[in-house]
Amino acid sequence: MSRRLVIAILVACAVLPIAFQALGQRQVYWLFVISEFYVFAIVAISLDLLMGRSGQISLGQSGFVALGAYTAAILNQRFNVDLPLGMLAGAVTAAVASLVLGFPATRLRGHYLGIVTLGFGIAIDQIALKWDALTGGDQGIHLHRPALFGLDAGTPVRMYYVALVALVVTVLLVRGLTQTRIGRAFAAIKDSEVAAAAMGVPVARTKVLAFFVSAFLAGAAGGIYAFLAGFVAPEDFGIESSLLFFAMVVIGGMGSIPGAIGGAVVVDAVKNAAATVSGLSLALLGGMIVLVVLFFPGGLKALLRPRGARRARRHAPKGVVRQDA
Amino acid sequence: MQFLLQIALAGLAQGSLFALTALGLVMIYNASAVVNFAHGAMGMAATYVAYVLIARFEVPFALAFAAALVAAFVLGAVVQALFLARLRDAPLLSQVVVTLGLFMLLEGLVGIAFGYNPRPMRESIAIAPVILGDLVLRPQDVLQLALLLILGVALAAFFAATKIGLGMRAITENTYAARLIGIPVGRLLAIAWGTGVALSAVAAVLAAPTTSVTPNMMDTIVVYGFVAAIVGGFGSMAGALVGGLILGVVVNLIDAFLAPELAMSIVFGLLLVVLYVRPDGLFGRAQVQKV
Repeated sequence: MSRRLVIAILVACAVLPIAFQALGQRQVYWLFVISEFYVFAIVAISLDLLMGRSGQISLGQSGFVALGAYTAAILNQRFNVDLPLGMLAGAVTAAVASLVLGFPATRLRGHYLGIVTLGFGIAIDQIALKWDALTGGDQGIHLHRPALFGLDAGTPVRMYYVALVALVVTVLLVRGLTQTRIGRAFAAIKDSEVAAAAMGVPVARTKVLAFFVSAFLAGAAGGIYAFLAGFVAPEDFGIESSLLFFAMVVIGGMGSIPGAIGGAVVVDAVKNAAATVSGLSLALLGGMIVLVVLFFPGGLKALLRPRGARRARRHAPKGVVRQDA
Repeated sequence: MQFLLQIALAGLAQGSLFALTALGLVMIYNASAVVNFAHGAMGMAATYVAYVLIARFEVPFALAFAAALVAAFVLGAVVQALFLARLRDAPLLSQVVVTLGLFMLLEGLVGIAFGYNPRPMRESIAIAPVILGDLVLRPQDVLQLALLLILGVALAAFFAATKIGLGMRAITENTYAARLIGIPVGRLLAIAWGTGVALSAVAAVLAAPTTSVTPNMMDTIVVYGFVAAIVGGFGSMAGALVGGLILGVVVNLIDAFLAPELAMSIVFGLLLVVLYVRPDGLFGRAQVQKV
């Protein structure tokens, strides 16, 4: 994506709340929808880091989001912990959980990971529902009004900016990470674990690290979500939402930050537009995933790429896969 | 003691559904190295065929069951030929992703067509429970276990003695070499997928009286099917069968003595322990990665 386009999008996002004032009462709703979308985009980027960059699959990403959200909510409810610390604690909790899960899982062949992460997502959901002394069961937890370094952050406009800044920071972090030695190790493992091992990449450790960073980001997103919604309950984090995050990454085109964000736009739009007919959004997203894999393996990111690059790609020798930033 | 035996019996009956699902998963995996995440949804879709035949057209159960199996076979073969065959040279991740997309597509389409309200399915055989000493044998349970044993033996014979079965084993061993010696790989893959999905449909139709017919009726069973297949070493049919039966007993013990709401969480905790100790499952052999 060109620098000018990125700046234009950023400026548009920054002034959006001002434009929304014209909506009157409904601006609160729309600000929430878009703030929520920013949080989802962070999760999509975290999942893309795992799937698109290091070639591992996770079908339980919402489990990490739930851990982050519940950690922030419980700390806030009991100890009045605020947004920055709550978010950090959520991120750390999710990251630690990823180690427990990642060590046995990454010793295994790829498809086991899909199944184990699926089970993890289901387990977190069941435990949140069952352990009501801690999580409030199906009643959920209400949070206190968030504050940011002593300032009241509880207005929809302020939470909007919190979510936007978090998304921008996530993009910069992941972008930076992919350009380091670690990022290249992720890419090497994705292409071929055996070749990566032969080149001296510690395969198991690198896979666990990808899992760790991905869970950290998803947990942080969960922490922000808890403060944004002001309420946390198990139904927000079921297996369905894991599938939504998965759809975002696939439809966006794996291994690309603009792709993950674009995928989040499409999935969030389909989810909200098709909410009235049960099954419709599931069928649409499933159909889109199948079509993308069969006919547009690059996903949205291939469409977002500037024209010249696309032409160069068309003439590139077959079988050569390009890694895009 | 009698209580424990009754639980074990119920566990074996429920486990036979997990085992049937796992057998289909392993069959597909052995043929094409793909874990079919749409496995349960495909069995569910076939169950709706039986449901519609029974509820709307009053077809006898056995006939509706047979129709569901044919539908499942066709669905599996078509999915393999239309989608998976095109992805033969794509990364494994793409093949897994496509089955996940199909899972969402099928569940969504059935949900749109029939709604999410559970629809009742009558017990497949209407005879009184058999009393065996202190134990009560539900005819449905007996049917499930009997079908599992019959199909298990039939599959063993199929892979040991028929030309198609031997060809599939050759494909599992080395697809490229199988193609070279003239085995019709494409056709056998379609048959393997069809048969695998039909096994899932057997489990789904048998489960229907308990779970009711809904778009997500197979979600729990297929996840336990995955677990059974992993415990069995993902690749061994006998392992999948035994793994399914063990898992059924474990789940019923959890339901009876621990917390039924946490059954799947506890099972996955146990699975992590099993994988930590034996990464290739209880019955699997360690695999050397071929480059």
